Amino acid sequence: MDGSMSVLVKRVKYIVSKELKVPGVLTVTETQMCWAPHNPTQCQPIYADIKSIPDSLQRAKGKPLLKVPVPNRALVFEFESEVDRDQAVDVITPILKEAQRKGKAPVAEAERPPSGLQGPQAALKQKLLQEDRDLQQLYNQLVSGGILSEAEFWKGRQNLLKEALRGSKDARQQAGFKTAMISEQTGEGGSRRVTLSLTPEIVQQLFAEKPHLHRAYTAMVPEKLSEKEFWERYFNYEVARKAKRQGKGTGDEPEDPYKEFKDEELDFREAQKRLQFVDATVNLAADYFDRDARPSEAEAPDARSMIRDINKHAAVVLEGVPTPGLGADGGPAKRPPTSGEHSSGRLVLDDLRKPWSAGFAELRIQDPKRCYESAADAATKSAATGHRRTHADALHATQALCQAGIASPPLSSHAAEAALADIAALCRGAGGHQWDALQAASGPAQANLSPQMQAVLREVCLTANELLRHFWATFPLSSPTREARALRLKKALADQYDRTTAMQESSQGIERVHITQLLKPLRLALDTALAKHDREVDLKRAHDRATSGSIAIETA
Amino acid sequence: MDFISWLETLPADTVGKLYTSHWACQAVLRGLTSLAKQYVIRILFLDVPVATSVVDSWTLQSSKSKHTTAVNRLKGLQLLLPSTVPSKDGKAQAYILHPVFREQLRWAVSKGRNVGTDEVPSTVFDRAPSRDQLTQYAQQQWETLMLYLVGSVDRPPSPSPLIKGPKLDVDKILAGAHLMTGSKKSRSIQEQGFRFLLSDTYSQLWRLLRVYIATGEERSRAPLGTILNFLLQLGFRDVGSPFALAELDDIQRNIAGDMAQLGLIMPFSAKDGSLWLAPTRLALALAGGNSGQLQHEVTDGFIVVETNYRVYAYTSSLLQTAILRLFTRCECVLPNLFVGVLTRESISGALACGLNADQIVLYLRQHAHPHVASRTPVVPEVVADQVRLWQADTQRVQHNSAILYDDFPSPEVFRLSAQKARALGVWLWEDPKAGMGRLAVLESGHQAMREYIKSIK
Amino acid sequence: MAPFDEEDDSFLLVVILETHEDLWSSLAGESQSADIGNLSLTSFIQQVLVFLNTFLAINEANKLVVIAACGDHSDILYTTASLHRESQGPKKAASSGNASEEILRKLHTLLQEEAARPGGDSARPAVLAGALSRALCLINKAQVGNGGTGGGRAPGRARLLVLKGSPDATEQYISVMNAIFAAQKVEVVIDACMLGAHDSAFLQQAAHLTDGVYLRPKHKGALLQYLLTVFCGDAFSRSFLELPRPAGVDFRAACFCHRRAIDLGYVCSVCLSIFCENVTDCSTCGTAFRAGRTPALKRKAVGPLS
Repeated sequence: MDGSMSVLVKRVKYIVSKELKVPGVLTVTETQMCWAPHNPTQCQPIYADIKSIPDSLQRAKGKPLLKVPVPNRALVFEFESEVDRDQAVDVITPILKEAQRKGKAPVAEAERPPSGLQGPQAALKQKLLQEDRDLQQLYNQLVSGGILSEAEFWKGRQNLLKEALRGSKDARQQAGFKTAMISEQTGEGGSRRVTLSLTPEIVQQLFAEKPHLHRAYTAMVPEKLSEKEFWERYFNYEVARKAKRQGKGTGDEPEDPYKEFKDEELDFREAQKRLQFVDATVNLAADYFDRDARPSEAEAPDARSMIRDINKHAAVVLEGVPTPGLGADGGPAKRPPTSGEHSSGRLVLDDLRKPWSAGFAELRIQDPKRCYESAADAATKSAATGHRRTHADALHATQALCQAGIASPPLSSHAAEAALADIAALCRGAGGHQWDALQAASGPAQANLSPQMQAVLREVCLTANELLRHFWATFPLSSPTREARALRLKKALADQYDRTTAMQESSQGIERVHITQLLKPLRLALDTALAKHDREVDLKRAHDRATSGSIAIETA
Repeated sequence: MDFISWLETLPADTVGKLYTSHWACQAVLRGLTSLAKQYVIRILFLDVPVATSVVDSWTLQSSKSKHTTAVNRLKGLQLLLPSTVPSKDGKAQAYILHPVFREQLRWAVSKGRNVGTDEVPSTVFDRAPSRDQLTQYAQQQWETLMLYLVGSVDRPPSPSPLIKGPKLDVDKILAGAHLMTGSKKSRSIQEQGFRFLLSDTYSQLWRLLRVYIATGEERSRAPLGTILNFLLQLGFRDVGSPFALAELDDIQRNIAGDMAQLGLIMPFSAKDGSLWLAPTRLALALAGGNSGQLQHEVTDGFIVVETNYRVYAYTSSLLQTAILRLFTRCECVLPNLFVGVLTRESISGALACGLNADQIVLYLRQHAHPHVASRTPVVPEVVADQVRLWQADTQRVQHNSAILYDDFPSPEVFRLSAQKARALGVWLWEDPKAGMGRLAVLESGHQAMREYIKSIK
Repeated sequence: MAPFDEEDDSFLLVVILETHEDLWSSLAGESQSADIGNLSLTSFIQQVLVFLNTFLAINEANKLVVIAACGDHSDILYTTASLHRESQGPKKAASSGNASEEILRKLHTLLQEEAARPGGDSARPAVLAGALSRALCLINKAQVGNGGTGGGRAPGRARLLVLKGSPDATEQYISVMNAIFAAQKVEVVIDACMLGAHDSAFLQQAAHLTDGVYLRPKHKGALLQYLLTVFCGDAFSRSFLELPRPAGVDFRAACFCHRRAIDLGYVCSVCLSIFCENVTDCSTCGTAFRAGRTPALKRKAVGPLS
């Protein structure tokens, strides 16, 4: 997909409406058609897969217009002249025909996004793309644009896919357990017969709340007890205990039938582990125990067990039902009894609703300052010699000056010129007089930009961030494939860099200042990435040369 | 009219010759406005021209007018010479610093030494006048000159008996500066003379020295540059540091004598009978810019203005009393105090003499008593505003040259003409009732109106 | 409105020149090519001297003080004659030559003393705080003196210029910041020119707080041009000139306990002292913090203290 040659580059106007014609450049390669405006604020660039364009291009008579039908709409371009247009059509038509012959004529699927989605979960991906405009834009630009492969693009979005699998975006909230504690729904007051309907869900909740029950179950069922017997024994005990608590029961405290599986120590450790994640507001014991999960001696053992039950219950409820259907990559759901043991990593009781995560991962550099400065330092250090001068050296200098006097002029004209230019850049770079305007304009930079411009900036940032993420993932450049990918991404990054430069240069006045400010971190990140690549390539080349050199010596 | 403004009026080659002296270059640098100074030192070490666009980018957008003034002044002084630099589209306008000036100034700031650093025998120091003596001498000479101008004394300041040579013709200089008319017998101060009295010492000095230099050229055949160089060099000497008269040539000796008469130098003789000269504080003004420090030192403040328009002046100087009488009504004079009131009549009188309100207020401010000088504003706002209002009173009528159109062929033509005049912004007055209407427009619009009326006739 | 009238553009400039081996070391060697990025020791001294001469040349009322900040003390290299109270009468011994010669001579003497010391002063950072305080004292004295004689000089007629090459000595953090705040209070502008390889957080903050200009020249060889262009203007013309604006200021503070530069730290709720770790009592004001549930020290971002 990469490296496809441009077969046509033409200066054309894209006709948005009768009044609005946006000048830009139309580029056609063997795989895609792309139109980009000269001024990115006026219009968004358009990408279209060649395969999705039928080979019936319509020319207007008497006017240098060309209509290109793409899925969902038709693009109308105005060429500089009819001759120009006809030349272009002559070039494009064979490509389209070729593409039609090769491809499976995806014209019929009008509902599909511009490019065909392949691989597993195609429908899911399509849905995601439709829901998220940003994602679609990125996809169009990077995958349809031939910069990233399909797999690469989705690789970083496994979490999105998983969530999509689990349900629609609105159903991101996890299904919860019933908050009523199971022990309380078991009896109907005075009647002696208790009917229980155990669903797998209830069982799962019970296991989660009472680990010893789960241990007992795995140990005894089905070898020693049948499943029914097991539960009968347990609920008999529960009912009796409840009656006792309500003061109706008689006799001794009922004995837990699976008492031997209770392991206080283990439970305690488990509880402590969990308590790290339990919100203090949920932990009823928090006040008594004051962050220390060790039971206090003064507490009645009965109360203690109850508090523990409630805490455990709250934790389990908050954690929610393990989503069925989300096993290993959409595999069959695990059987509920085995999922009783939760991985501690999933115990974070953040909130029932997960924070909305944007569809992209941010590129984070721990300390950007260090990152950017180190490169600059390396440059200055290499310039200055490591030699340390002492007062004696300074003394020599003053001695010489005392005798010879000050040279006239003490600095060269071209040095002075360079300094003046540098100062001018310093004044201008940070705003200079525009700085005042910037101070005067209240509110953040975004408030002073047109929504159109903001959209363009957003898109640029999203694209560049996505590319950067993929770019950094290719390091270290240990294999030729990685190297090739890094090179491809580097080219794309360089394009983005040029685009930001063009944007800065085409903007005017106060807007320019704001754009420069907003793009600054992005450009720094791009600078760093490009510099890193160059350095790596240099290193590698030097290394290769060294190894090949040693081989040469050996053979000689 | 100070030194710098005067230089601007001189022909380019005269100024160019002047720049061959580094004293002149330094004095010019000091005399520039602060922004212009910055421009000069920014390009001081550049050998190549600097594009105008670069120079224009040095100032903030909001202060473009100051920038233009500074650049124009530098151009007027031949300091910024037009040049070109290669640019993208051919050649761009550029400036280059006057090459001679550049080299001289570079030398001055890297190798230059102060004047008057030669060894002076200690025997001379013993007889050298003290600072107080110097100040007193300067004040006495200068004040006599001013009083002579006002007519309070009959004789101009006396020349020093120590220096032999031709005397300075004070009358000729004062007349040349358009301060006085008439001969010795019937002198009368001119309108400009009043203004002169109120201006600061620096301006006063240069106004007289300009005439002195101009007439000196005829008198002693000394080229302008020689006189000016001597004077400027004098300005760079430390106050009170003596130099020997014997070291000067004839022309310089003559000039020194004249300056002693004006109070710029104080001559004295050492024990061995040799003649020495010590510059006074007035001499500082020769090379100094018009910095405020000088004014404070030369004439110590003495005036207190109160919000009730009363002016108290702690002075016994006849000159200062005379100046104050120009624009105040005298209430009483005590041995060391003058009390006056600013009234409408007194100010009107002063305005009639050719003074203006700003000069009066400035004079009051510049000579404020130390006790009120630290206050802001020094002169109460109500007083300053009132003085300006009184001046505005006298300027209520505005003169405009106008053309009156009469005898229009029809009311329609009159109507259209009036409309056109308004559109052109030259309309002044109209009277539709008289005949076919009458219309007055500014003279500047006459040509356009005439053509218009012809076209619609 | 503006406290500066156009007619009087004179001011008092106090230059703090670091005479420390760190500064010498940050300059290029004599033998190195005269590139615009390199500045040899000789030309550094030359260029600074020419700058000082030019400053004195542009206005006869300009006053200059040069302070050398050495490894363990500061020394006054030059003071304009009019600042000496005692030298009112004609000078007995005529001072020879111009300011630069006097400065050079004093510098030479100072360096002779310094060079004679064993060891060198790499272990002793230059006394920036001491020099700043000394400069402020001088400025205060000059201003009070002026005000007394009736000139009534408004504050703001004095400026400080720091020429520095050594990295920040974090153990001086408190004293330097105090000096900066004092300068801010008396409206003395602090300009800074950093010649070392790294930006100086101290000087950046100083310039930021006092409305001065911080500069780290890219082309060190053209130091004089930088000095003339940026630091020579009086307050009046400065208000019209385009001057380099900081792209970003390093606001990091140094903790009071170990003098480490930190981004995040603990701040005493009573006296605002900064610590890099949780302490039981404040070493500055003595407040005892109750450990445990009610932390008196709050961990928060340490920013500008103003």
